[in-house]
Amino acid sequence: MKEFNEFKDEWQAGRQQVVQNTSDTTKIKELARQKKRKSIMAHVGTIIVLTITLVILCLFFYYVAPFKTILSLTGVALMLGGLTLRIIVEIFSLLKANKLRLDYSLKDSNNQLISFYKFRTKIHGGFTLIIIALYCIGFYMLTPEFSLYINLQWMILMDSSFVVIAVILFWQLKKGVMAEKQVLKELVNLNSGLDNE
Amino acid sequence: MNELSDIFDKIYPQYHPMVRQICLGYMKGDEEQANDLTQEVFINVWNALPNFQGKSSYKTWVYRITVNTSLNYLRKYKKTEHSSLDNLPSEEQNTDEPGNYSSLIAAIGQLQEIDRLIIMMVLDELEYDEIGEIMGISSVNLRVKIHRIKARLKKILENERV
Repeated sequence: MKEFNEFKDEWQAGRQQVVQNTSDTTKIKELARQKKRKSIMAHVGTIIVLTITLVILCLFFYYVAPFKTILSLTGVALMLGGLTLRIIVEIFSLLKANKLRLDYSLKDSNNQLISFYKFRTKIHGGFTLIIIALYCIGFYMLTPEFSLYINLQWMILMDSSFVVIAVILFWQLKKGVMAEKQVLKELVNLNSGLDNE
Repeated sequence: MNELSDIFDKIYPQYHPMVRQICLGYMKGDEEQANDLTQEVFINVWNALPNFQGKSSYKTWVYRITVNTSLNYLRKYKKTEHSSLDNLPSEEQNTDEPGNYSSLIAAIGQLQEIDRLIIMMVLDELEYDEIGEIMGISSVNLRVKIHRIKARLKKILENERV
């Protein structure tokens, strides 16, 4: 039976065998910059897509289809309001993600991640469902006024295709939430592992 | 920025062997994965460098980033290519290392993720206070953990080296 000090000696001897990486640190710095850019763009990308959608919808409702009835205007407000709320939440999420620190202790860093993923599961779960629901309700509220200008066949096609889009969105959302819940579970388990003696 | 760059140029060669060895132990001796993880650690070191406040030594600070990056890396890794770290090669596939060191790395790989990191810090002769600071746990809890991990490591190595 070896004493633990012998394992230490083996470990220290193993350190000598580690091949010193002589590569230029410039490469690491460049990779770090790329990683940071990529991470920001992943968040900013969603914000840009949502903002472009919002702008296109605004232009559409102003120039192409200026609705007049109260019901339609409420529908427009629900659609645009839901999208605006989603953009605000994404910006908030980006700011929160930028605050995550890897140079804290494992426990603190883990607690930060738990708080972040709890926030993500909330916004990708219930909150986004509400926004999609508002968007769908808003869209269907436009139908009566739309039907005055578009023939019935097109209306049916438009309304039914919207259901398909909503189902696909819901499925994607559920998949994302499940993945984030799994990460959250692992993080909580990690914390329990740290607390248990 | 130049000042940070100079600091990084000093930190990198000084702590590269330490980080590389931890990554190798954490990734069960898989050289390729250990290289990827080591690179990831230093990318995070560079990105975190502007936040370094000098409250701890560079060594402890780099260790904290190594520990957090390793656990995040595994989580990310599980989501993509591998379903589990158990798919990584075992000691038999790492014949380039001398026998004892190779089996030590393999034995460490059989421990729980957190236990792997803790025992490598003990093998690296870090003070218990430092390890407690890196992990964010009390020294009483840490001592109990270390005692248990040492016993488990000894048992694994005993079974393998008999």
